[in-house]
Amino acid sequence: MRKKVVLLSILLVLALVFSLTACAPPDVPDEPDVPDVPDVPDEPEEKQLVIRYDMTVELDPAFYTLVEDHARIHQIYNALIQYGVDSLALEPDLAERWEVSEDGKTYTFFLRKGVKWHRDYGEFTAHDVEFSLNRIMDPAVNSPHTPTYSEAIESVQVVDDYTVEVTFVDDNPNHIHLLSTYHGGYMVSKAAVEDLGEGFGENPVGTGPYMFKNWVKDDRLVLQAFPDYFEGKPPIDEVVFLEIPEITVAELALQRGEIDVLLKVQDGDLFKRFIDDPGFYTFAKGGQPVRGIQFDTRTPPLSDVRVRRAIAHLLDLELIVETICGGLGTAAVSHLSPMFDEIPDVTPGLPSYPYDPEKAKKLFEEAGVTNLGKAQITAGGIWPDLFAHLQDQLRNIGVTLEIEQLETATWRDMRSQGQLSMTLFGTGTAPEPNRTLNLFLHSRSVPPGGLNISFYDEVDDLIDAARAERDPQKLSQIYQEIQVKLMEDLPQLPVYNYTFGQVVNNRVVGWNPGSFQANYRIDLVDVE
Amino acid sequence: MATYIARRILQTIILLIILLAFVFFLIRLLPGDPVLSILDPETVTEEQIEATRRRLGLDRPLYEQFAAYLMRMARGDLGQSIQHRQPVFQLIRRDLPHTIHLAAGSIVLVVIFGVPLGIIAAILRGRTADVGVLVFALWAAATPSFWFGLILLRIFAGWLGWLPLMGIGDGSLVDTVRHTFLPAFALSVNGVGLTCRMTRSCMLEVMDQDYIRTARSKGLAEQIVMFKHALRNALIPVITVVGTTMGAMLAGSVVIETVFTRPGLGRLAVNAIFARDYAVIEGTVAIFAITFVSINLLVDITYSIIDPRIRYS
Repeated sequence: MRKKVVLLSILLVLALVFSLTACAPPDVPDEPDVPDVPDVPDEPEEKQLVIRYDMTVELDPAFYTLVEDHARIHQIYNALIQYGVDSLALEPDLAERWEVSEDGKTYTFFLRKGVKWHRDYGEFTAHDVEFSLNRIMDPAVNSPHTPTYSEAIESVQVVDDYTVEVTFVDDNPNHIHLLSTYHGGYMVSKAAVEDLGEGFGENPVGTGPYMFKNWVKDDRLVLQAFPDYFEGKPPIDEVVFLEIPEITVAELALQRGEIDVLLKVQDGDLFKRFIDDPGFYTFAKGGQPVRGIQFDTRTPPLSDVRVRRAIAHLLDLELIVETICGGLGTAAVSHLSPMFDEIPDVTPGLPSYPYDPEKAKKLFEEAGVTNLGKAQITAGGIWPDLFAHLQDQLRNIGVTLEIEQLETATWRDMRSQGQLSMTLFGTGTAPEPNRTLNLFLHSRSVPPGGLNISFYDEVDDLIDAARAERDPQKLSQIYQEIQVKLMEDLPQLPVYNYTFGQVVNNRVVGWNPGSFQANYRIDLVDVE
Repeated sequence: MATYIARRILQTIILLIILLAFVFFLIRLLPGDPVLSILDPETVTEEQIEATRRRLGLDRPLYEQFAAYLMRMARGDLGQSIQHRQPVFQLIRRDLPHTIHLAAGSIVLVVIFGVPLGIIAAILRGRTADVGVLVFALWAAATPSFWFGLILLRIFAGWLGWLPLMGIGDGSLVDTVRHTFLPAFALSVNGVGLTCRMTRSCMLEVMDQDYIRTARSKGLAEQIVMFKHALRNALIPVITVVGTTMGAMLAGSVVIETVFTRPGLGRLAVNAIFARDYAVIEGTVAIFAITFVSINLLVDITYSIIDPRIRYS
């Protein structure tokens, strides 16, 4: 009997533990240790938009770097200027207009009046601009953007409450992008940062159409409409950025109506399933970023340009885009997309490498190469299929290639150490071409740490010349020269200009796919 | 018994220290930089990456980091998550209940399905039902739980719409059970197969014993022979298997929580591994280890209670 009682007790304890934890609130976000902030008035939950997107890492513009965080940051904050809904043209945001001094170094911004900060932190003024930019440049803040801003901005001067002057170190017209809706350009409230201190990132305060409501790490970020937004309260009352790691589940959730928008779709088959579905509409817009294959040009056999050109001749880019990429993108013609204003639709004299296995075989024979060694890739996305296809094409002409799949963190580590002989590359969206070129193809960006894992240095002078050039026509000419040189030497083989697909439920009206990075204008969206 | 328990607890503490030291060095020797999971190298300079590494103390020699880690653990401080910038203890406290739910629900299903099926197969040994159960048990033991989970989602949440697709519910008992059922079912499949086969084997072994023959000879009803005499003795090893299955449940929660978009320790650990969030990895491993060892201890104690022949000193 005693034993039965003990056994029963154990079972009851287990049942009690289960029940107690079952009755716990589903989300127990621990409140960060920050001072009290003014209560956010409860809004009745009416229109809600649920977006499936990647994990939120950072909500403080001084510290965010990942493009996925950009989508959320863009709803909470504004900058002095912004990119257009459908283009990279710069438009007014918190600044109504701006003037440029004769020497091209000083920009005077005339700010909107009556713009309010979230949560009763007062009105946005020039003092907030000064504070925001100085904060980014302050080494003590430890922002990853400090070097970029410190090297470009000479001073920030408050003229009056609604006028501020930003003086750059030189007349490079690209400096103005630093004040746009990108990274450190977003404005923060001086009062809120001083009030919340280190807790600001967990309770962000901006002027944007949506204000912070709740953040459950690894699960969801909830934003609610800001009723006093300077362009009017947005139609949707609550926006939820939901993390759903498994794409199959995300697809089911979309079909069931549990989510409204599926962003960053890389699966072409999934995307195609929704193209003809009358309940949804799709976007595959973009095409500026480039993806392809990168070669370490230091050592044989990849140091031989004939080998790199031979590889280029083995890839039928149109077919690859249609099949492997699932139609999400276009065949790349060079390293710089024509979507950049500086790049013409057609660059004269640009080398191309049409699909020609016979020519590839001849080039390999001339170079005396039958073994390309190892390619190191990550497991996700199109890379396994693309490299397997290349391996197959090589095998058909008697050349061997071994493929090593690495975990992403390991691959990143090896990349930063320059230990990848043949691998993938992909550029992000950039406001102008020089940034991408500097990052991936200038000799000052070689590892350790840099991304020029080709160790290529043949266009350094041209990249530096482009950086200093102010005449748009001459600048375009320089970029065309760079394009031609890169396609001749092929330190990287551009394969396609990619775009992430977006699938949107029909009940969502006015969704815009974003012109730059992830600058979705959710304040222009409504739901039925 | 008290001495035995005390000795086991001491062994657990020593084991935990060795395990955590092993994990500490292992994850730091793996390739992968935690800083690169929070900073985009396309946007920041190498100097900034190094500065962040210094700020997080990741540039210090391993032995220094280990010493700081031990001192921190001695104070009960599990450290700060690099990714989430929150104390690891907070993250674990948030997610642990959800994993317990999932594991507990799975164990209940393992017992509800595995034991009766094993009994049926034993009683109907050699017949079609026995063969059917054995085939099912083999399939259940061999089926990957994440694949089964996706199938369940597709059928019950997708096509039929009977059960939720993801999440943990609104906190009420009914909603929690609704949200836990499918993931628990998926997680339990391997345990059901294993428990079913074990129950059948143990029942068959017991049913051939002399005391069962004696019970029948005494004219006892077959029901009493089976469930009062045979089953009670057959369940002793089955309890051990079910207990150790709990450990497998914790491991399986890693994948199931991701598939079913549930918060939990498993998903927290997986994300931490991908991001090389060292403190979170160490903290979750510690919790898993403590839980696993505690369950084993509980099983041993239960075993000794059920079987009077077992005595621990």
